[in-house]
Amino acid sequence: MRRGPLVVLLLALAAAFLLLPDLAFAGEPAPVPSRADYPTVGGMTGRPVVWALAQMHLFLAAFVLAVPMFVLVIELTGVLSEDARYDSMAREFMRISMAAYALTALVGGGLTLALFVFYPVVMDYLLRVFDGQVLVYALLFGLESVFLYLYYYSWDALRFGNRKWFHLSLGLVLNAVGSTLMFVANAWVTFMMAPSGVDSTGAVTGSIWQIMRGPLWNPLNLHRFLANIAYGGAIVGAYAAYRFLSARTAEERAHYDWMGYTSNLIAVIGFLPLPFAGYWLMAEIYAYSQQMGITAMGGILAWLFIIQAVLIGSILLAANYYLWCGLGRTEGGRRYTPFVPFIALVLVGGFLVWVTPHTLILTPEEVRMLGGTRHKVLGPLGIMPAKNTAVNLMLLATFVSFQLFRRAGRIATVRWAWAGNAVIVALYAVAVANIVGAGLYGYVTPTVYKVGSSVPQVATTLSVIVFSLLIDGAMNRGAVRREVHWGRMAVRSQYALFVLPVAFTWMMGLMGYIRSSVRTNWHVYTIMKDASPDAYIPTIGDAGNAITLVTVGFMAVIIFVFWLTQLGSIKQPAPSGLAE
Amino acid sequence: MTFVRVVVFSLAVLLSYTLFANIVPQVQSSPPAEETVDVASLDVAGLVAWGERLFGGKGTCTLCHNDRGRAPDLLAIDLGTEFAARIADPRYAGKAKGLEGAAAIGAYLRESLLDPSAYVVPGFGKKGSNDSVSPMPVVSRAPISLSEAEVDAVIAFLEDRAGVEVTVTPPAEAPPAPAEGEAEGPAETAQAAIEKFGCATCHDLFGSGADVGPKLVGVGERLGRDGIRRAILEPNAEIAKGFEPDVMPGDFAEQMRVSELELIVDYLMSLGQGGQ
Amino acid sequence: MAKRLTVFALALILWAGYFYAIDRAIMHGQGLPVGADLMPPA
Repeated sequence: MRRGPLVVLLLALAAAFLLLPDLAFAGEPAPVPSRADYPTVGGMTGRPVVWALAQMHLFLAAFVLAVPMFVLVIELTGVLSEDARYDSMAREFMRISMAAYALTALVGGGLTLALFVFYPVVMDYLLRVFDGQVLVYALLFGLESVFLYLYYYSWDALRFGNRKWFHLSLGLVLNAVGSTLMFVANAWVTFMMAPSGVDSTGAVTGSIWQIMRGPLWNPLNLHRFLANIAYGGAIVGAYAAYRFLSARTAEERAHYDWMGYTSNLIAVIGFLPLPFAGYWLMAEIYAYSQQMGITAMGGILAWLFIIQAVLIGSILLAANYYLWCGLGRTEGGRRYTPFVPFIALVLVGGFLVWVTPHTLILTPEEVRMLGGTRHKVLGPLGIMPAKNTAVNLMLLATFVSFQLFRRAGRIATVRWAWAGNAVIVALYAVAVANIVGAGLYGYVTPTVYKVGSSVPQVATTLSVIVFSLLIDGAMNRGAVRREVHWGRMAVRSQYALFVLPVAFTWMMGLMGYIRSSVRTNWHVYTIMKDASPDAYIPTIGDAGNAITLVTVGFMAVIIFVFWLTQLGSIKQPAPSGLAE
Repeated sequence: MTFVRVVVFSLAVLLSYTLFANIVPQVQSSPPAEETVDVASLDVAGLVAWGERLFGGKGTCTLCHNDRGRAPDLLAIDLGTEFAARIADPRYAGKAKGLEGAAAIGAYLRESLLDPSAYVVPGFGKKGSNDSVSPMPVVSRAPISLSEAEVDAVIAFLEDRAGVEVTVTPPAEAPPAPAEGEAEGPAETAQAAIEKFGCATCHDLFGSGADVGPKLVGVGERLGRDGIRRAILEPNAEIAKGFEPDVMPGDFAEQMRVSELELIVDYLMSLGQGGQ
Repeated sequence: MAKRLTVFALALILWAGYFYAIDRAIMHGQGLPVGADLMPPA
């Protein structure tokens, strides 16, 4: 298992050297591929193969990059709170990630091979553009492996005092290298969507920095950074849920219940700021090319965002449901259960608004009966101001669930607690009014400004989160902790933890489909046209089927990874008579 | 047993998403079909019809120009009054200023297609640019890449819709064919070369009387052989006084054979004061 | 109770001021006009 990544690294280096473009041709225009430049292998064209491998690689890579991030934070929490349980949980999360690492590299290698086999002309050009950076990527990959192994294997050797801080530093470097890896790979993707540092024929005119720093690079970096965290949390949550369900002792149940709670927390924390990152990405796409923006949201791909709404709705509902079930773990939780129906109402209501499409694709009969392509009453709910209002309210509702759950675990002892509560309630009241107000404002303004009014909405949600946490934190000083009965959770609550990774994974596949499709029939937008037999955007149904297949494959891989993790901690007892 | 239940549950959730993806309206988007149009055989009606096809097809105009508010809904508004109002707008300072009637509208349309930011209809400018920058792409460049004839066709279509006289003429002869699939051999005489590359369309050569480009009488004395070569291969390097950049085709370097170039240079060098 | 309501009312006003300020800052930061200037010309 340890040799795998090294072999891939060597292969990558070899490929880079063999295929290293002649630097003298960097300033030449992009090649113009023709139909003949796209080989078929075994009757298969490139697109399904590359799509499946790329998607699988992204699923695995997102996971292995995310886990060390929250592992580091959990390990640090353990050091600061002097609670050894955090350390052992951090370690357990790390074990899951290690098992997946070699598989990630393997699929990545397969992806590279498929790209060169099926799209040689495209890869020739991209290599020419990115040039020496390919070697940088290979080097970073090597560094990642080194620090990953160091971080994991030195855990016991660097347990206390200064050594522990050194261990944390190793984790920090690991995360820095991992994030850099992702940022480098992101540049390739955003270059294909919005090329920079080249002229209109594709000839390189700028430095590698200008090539990387296109308008979509940082928005994608932020988006993937946050989404990875949410995703990683969701997957380890599934691990915890499964171990909880198959636990045989009360201790095990308690341990995995706590792990499940922590995972859900990580997923929700990573999830809450995501709409802002998504908004920034879409805004930059619109600013770069209104055509591309409209293709994504108002044109042929518009229905995808309705499906996305269903997925996000199910994620929010599942995460909240888990939190509500969690209220039963503490005595204090019971007094908050009356809030639950209201929160549920906001969530379900918001979800329904979000799912409502703007235009309906109807037969001419239906258009006549309806008197247009839009429903008179529900039609207005289909545009952005309604959607943004709905999602922000849903996020606020989720945060309320989270906040209530945290409060259930303690009794505040500060004397000004009553004032603090009043301030928080006022905060929510004004925030809701502001979000709804900004939404209504979006209705009376021209289209170009509508989306702009969603930024104050997101800022409102973020403000509520920040201020609530600060005030809560202050009120928490010297609070009496209630007993939390870890393990006291209904079985159905764990199924909520399975919905999360399934929905997240499928959604990642859907987003990949959108990202690739907004380029329409271009490999590199406006520079290199796609002349392959697959130069069309598949229907959502076809894409959905493809995504499901890869997701099932990923589920199988993850089940294998979980099983390996579990296997690693089993020790067969020696038969009687043999020394242990 | 737990394992089976969990797997079945997860697959059921997956199935519900897959089903949903399959029941929403399905749209497959293929790249726009390249239409080969015999440009030389088009009359005005044919040109307008071609323009209409381009408007909804290769030109991708309807992506933004619809009733959703991103761009003026050209198929719904009264184009005649609308265009006239924009040209009359004090903010307007483009090429149609000072022109009248159909000529003004033709010039305005061409400018809107090739230089959309010259004038932005109030309310439709890029966010934060105060209506000074248009989000519309230049249609002659990627990703739309309409050819000159296609641009003419779209203008013809819009002029027709505006109810004014169509000011673009169908091309008198087919423009030079693109490099791919060219089966013709090189031109053997200067006149054949000049005909092949359409020089007389803009320059007054062989009695064409065209004045889109500068007169070429005495150009040999003014520029010399090297200067003439440069003017043909890199037209934007130096623009004659009173003329605009980006009008003369810039791709003769790719299209012309060296023998053809030399024939033309020879001929132009011979254009003395008493030229043909 | 009266104390609670007073604090609540005060907080409402303060939060309203805060959100109004950030709303304005954000809209102006995007180069978008706020309020009456946004209405399309008659």
